[in-house]
Amino acid sequence: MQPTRCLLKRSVWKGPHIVPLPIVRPEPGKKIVPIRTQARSATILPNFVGLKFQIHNGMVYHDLTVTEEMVGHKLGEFAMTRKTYHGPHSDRYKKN
Amino acid sequence: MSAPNCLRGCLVQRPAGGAAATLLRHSTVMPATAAHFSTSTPLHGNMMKPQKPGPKSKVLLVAKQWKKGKVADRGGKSPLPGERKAFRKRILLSNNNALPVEGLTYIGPGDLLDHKNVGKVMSIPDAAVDQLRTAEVFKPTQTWSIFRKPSMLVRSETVDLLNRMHTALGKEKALRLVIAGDRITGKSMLLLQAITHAYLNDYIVIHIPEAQELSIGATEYAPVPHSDPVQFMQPNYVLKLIQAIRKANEKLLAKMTTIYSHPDLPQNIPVSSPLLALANSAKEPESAWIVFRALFQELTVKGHGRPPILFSLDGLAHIMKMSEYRTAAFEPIHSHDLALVRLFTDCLSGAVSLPNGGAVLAAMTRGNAPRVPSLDLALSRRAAEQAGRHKNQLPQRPAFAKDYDDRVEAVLQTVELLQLQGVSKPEARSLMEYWAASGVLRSLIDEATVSEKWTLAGNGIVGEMERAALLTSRF
Amino acid sequence: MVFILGVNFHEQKLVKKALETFYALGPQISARVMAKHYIHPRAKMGTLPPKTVTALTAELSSMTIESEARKIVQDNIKRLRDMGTYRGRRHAMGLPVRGQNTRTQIATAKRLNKVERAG
Repeated sequence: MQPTRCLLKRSVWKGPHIVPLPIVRPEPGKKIVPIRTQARSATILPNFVGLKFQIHNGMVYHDLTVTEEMVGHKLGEFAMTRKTYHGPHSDRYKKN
Repeated sequence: MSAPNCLRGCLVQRPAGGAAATLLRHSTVMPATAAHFSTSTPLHGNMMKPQKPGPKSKVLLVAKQWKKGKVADRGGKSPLPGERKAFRKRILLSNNNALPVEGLTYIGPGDLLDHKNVGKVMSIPDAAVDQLRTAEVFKPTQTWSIFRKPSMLVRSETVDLLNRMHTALGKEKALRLVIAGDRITGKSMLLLQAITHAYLNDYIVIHIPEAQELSIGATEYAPVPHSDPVQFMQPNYVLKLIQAIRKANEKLLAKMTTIYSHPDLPQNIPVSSPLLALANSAKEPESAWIVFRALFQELTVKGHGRPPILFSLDGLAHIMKMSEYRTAAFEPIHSHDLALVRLFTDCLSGAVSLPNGGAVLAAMTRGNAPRVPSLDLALSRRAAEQAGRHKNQLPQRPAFAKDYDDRVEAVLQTVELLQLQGVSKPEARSLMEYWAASGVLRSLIDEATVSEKWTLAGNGIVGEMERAALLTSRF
Repeated sequence: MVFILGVNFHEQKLVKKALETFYALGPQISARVMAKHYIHPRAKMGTLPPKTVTALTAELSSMTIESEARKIVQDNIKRLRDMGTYRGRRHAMGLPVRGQNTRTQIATAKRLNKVERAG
C-alpha cells in the first residue's frame, strides 16, 4: 500500500474520528461485557484491542472482538448492513 | 468509345465473327495512342471488356471482405521500415520536365560578394551541390524539385551578409549573426547561400541542419567524462556530423596537417599527419566526441594555413530551452549543457573565438519553433541597439515574468541580427522570370503580374510568392 | 530480439514501451529508469548496447515489479478478507468495493475483484 493512502482519506489536522464510547476495562476474572454502540463511524483506536463490541447494523447488533490489525478501520466496516441477495431463482424462493 | 468509332478502328480491317472480342480487348489499350480528350475513355473501355468467368474483379472482392469485417486488401505492399521517412526527407534537386533556362550562370567564388549580381538568379555549381547535399543544407520543403538545376536568387541581404563575412575575414574575426524573420522569408535559404559561398571560397563548414534533432531527445546521449559541470555528448549525431564534414571538406582537410598530439584519441594520430586522417579516425560513436573536439581544436589554430570556418545552425530556438534529456538524477538537462550545442553557443557568444575568421550563423525557424521568451527579448534588444536606441532604452523583461533564461540572454549579448523581409520588386521580377523561363509559371511576366504576386505575397515574402505563383494548379 | 528480465522484445520496440509492459512499472518509473542509464526517450530496443541491457535487467530484478507487486496487492485484499470487513467481502463477491451502483456497469469489478486478484 502506498504510504500516502492513509493521508488522503481524512485531513491530518482533524485527527482520527474519536467517539466517546462507554469503555469499561474488564476486571480480570470477570466476564467481559460487550460495549453496545450505534457509532458505526467511530475509528478503532489502539486501546480498543481485545474489547468486545456490539455494533448496530440498523436492525440488530453484531458482535465483534477487536484485534490488532483492525486498528484504524471504522466499527461499521465489520457489521454488514445488507442481506445477501440470492436472486429470484435461489432455493429459498422455490416452492416444494 | 469503341473501336468502330475511332479513326484507327476504321483503318484496321475488321475481323469477322469470333475475333470481335479480341479486337475489343485490344481497343482498351488504344486511347492513349489515339489521344482522346477524356481520361474516362480507358475506364469505359474496361467496362466493356467481357468478363472472364475466372477470378472475380478486385472491386467485388474488396466489397465482400468489407462485409465480413476483414481488413480490405488495398493491393501493393506496405512500405518497409524507414521507407516512409526516407520518402518524406528525400531531396530532389532536378526535374527533367522543366525547361533549361538560357543565360543562367554558375556562381563563382566572388559572385555573391558583388553588388552587381543582386537580383540575378544564378545556379549552384555541381561540386558545391554535392557538398551542400552532404551537409544536408537543402530542405525538402524548398522548391528545388520543380526546376531543372538548383538555382537561387541573389538578394541584397545575401550580398550584405557575405560582405560582412568577408570583412570579418579580413580582420581575422568571426561574424556572429542571427538570421531572423517572418515565416518563409527565406532564412534557411540565406543560410544556404552563405554556406554555398563558404564552400566556393574554401571555408570549412560545420553545419547543423536541424537544431531540434539535438534537443528533442531523439538521439543517444551520454555524459562527457571528466567534465565539470557535467556536459552531455551525443555520440551518434556527432559521428554523423564528422562524417558529413569529412566528406564535404575532404580536399581541404587532406591539405592540412595536425599540430597537436592527441593522446586520448582511440587511434594514434602522430603530429603532422593530415587532418583527414584525424577525421577518419572517428569510426565508433563512443569516440566521436573526442575526435570532434580534437578536430575543432586543430581547425581553430591560428595561422598554419588554416582556412576560415563557417559554423552554422538552423532552428536556433530549439537549442535555447530545456532539452528533453534528463540526467541520471532525473533533472532536466538544459540544451546548453549538451556538448555540441555548448560549442555552438560559445562560438555564437564569442567565448570561443575563430582566429582564422569565418562566421557563426544561426537561422531562426518559424515553422515549429518553441516559444522562448528570452530569445525573443534578446533579439528585440539587439534590434533596438542596431536601430541606434540608447542602452537605457532597450526592451526589458516584464516585471514578475517567469520563463526567462539568463543563459540564453548571455549567449545573445553581442550577436548581430539580420532581420529578413520580403524581396524587392525588381528581385521578385527576376525570380518570376526565372520561373517562367523554366516553364513552371505560365503567365506573361509584366509589371502587373509581378506587382500582383508581390502584393499577394505580403510585400514579397518569397515563400508566399511561390505559393501564389508556383504551387497552385491555376496556371 | 533483446532479452530483458527473461522477456523477449522486438528490436523496433521503444524502450519506454518495453519497460512499461512490466506490471507495476509505469510512465514515471520507466522515465526515471531510462534517465538513470542515459537512454534517450525515443530509443528503440535494438539500439541499446549489451552493457545497458544487462544493467537494465539487473536494475529491474532489484525492483518490486511483476509477481512481487501482485503479491502485495493480493496480501492487502486478503488482510481485508480475513478481518471480515465489508471491503474484503465485496472483493470476494466480485462486486464494486467503494459504494458504486451495481445495477449496471460493473464489468470491471466482476473481472478484477477477487481475493487472489490477478490484474
